[in-house]
Amino acid sequence: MGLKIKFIIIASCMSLTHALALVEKRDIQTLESLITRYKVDEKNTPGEKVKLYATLAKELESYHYKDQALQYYEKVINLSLRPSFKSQNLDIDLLGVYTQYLFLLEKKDPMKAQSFYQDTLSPYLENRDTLEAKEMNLFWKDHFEAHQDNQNNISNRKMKRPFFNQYQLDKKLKELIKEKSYSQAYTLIKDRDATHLNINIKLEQDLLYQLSNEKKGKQAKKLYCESMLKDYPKSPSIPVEACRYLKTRSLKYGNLKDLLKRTQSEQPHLHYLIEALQDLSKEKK
Amino acid sequence: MRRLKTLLFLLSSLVIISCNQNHLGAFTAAKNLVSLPFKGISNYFSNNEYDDVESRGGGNLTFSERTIAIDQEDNPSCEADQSSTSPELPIEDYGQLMNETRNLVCSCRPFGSCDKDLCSCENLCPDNFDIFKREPYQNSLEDLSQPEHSLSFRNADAMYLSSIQGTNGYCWGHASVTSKFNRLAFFNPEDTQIKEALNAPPNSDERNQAIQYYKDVIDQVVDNKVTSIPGFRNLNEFSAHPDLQTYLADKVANSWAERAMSMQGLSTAVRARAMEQEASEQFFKEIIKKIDHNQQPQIVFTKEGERFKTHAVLVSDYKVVDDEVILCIRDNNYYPFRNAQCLHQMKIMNDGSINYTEWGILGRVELAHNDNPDAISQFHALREHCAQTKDCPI
Repeated sequence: MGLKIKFIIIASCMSLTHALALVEKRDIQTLESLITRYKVDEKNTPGEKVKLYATLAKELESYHYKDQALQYYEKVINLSLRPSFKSQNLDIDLLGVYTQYLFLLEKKDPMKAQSFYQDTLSPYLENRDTLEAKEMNLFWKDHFEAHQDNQNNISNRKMKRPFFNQYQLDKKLKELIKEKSYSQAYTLIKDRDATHLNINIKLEQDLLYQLSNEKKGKQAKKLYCESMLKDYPKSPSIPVEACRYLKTRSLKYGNLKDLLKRTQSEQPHLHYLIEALQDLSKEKK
Repeated sequence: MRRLKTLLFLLSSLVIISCNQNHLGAFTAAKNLVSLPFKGISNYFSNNEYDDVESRGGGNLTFSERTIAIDQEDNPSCEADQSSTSPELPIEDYGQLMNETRNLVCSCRPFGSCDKDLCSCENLCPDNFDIFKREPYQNSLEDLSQPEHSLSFRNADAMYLSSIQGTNGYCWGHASVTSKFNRLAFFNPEDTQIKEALNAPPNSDERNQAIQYYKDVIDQVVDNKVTSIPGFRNLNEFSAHPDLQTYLADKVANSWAERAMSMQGLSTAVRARAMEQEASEQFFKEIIKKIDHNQQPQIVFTKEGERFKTHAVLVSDYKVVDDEVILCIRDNNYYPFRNAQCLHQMKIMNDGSINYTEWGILGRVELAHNDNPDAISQFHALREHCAQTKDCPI
């Protein structure tokens, strides 16, 4: 073997080793280069391609390269749906790929996700005769129906799907607060004890209590957020100001409009709550 | 001559290529991937790399050592007494003595105060999971579970029985964020300048910059990066601040969504049959190994017979009592001080199922899918940070 050829072999080995080393550092280009270096499209069997693409998709997703992960999931799915792939009876469990893809896609493109569920995942789950598959199918069916269901049947859903309910409940609460359906929102959380929970929940609980019809004719209730006023008396922070307003109907700095404006830049995720706070001042008048 | 040149070239190339066995490990892992049966989607590369780092040694008392230690506590009469009265110290005790003497001057431990002339880089920046033995770790993993190293808010109130079943907060996010802060955050209470700026008037540049600074700090930790946190003594104090808690709580919710809304989240949620002996033992073995390597792993589980009744917690430590292994659970629904005392426990029952003191018999119990990828990212981040701050080459 000539020196030139040996050099080429060694250089390729070195670059491959280097590339693989970078895999450990979660470099996206190197993760992708693994595919090219293996020349997946040329020599691997469909089953091998599925394994490689699916593994890379999962790794990419774990390290927050979501768009790229979606691309690789789609490659796997396209392969798996080819008639030639099915006819080879490769005994490959694709449920993980389909589910992982659907969760990811649902955040990016809910309509496309729903089509994928109906066209691919649902028939796949229906063909599996296990209780788990049935439960999963029910979960997704329920999930996509919830998107369409504007009639607020959330209480019934909660009984069915607890693990994901906090997420659905929070989404629903935000929607109701934005729609100014405060009493309806309060009924969803009125039994919650927020004593040891985070400030966002405490504020939500206190605010909805005051905005709903619940407090009419009753004695003033101790606010969950009140301990914060004691611990941070000088703080200009938005939650402290909001709590101060709930307790005294006054702010330390500026007025409610100023607070709302400030929320947009400081704590945008609290904007819906501070906006609702404005309605307390209207109620007072 | 030409042959000699070729040989020398080949040899030198071989040295360059093989100097890092991990790279070759990754190559083998990639090669093996295509030949393995495809049981389901997994973090194949991360898990391989995790195993590689784990095999580099380090760690605490292993399971068998703990059993011996407990046996000796129970039988203090024999060897322990003899060694304590012996006038001559065994050679390994001299090493211990040296460490203790050195620790009087500075601390020779991961990220310790000694410099590398006094304490080796292997001790300051270990190339294994001993790197996690940094403060707040003092003597054992349980140190991490103390209230001051826990988030100031709970996931949900366990004492409260909701009429709406299952609205249980964002447990997986809570466990994950807590673990990240315990491993990656370096609190520096002396440097109070930025913290004080939080009390500056609203809309002032001073205050806006301070808020943005701390938000970036939170983002970095959640993104598995090593981060210094000035102005605060610990996680509890940091997470209690009204300017920061609200952002942190939002991150907890987002972290939950990233983890729970996944194949593992859903597949665990739908499996509620109690586990068989073999699966339970395998799970305990995996968790014990992680604890022996200085980690409080994240686990997810369902209650037996109740699909979708699911929770995620940290396993803070384990005990061996009468040859029975008990896992100590750091449950984010309870007071942190209870967690630090190992009052919430899991064990394998006679029928092979797993029992949790707060839930009864469990259905599916698994290590969280993000645990190994997170541990690996954090390992690299800590090693790089250590290399810079302690001048220890990686």
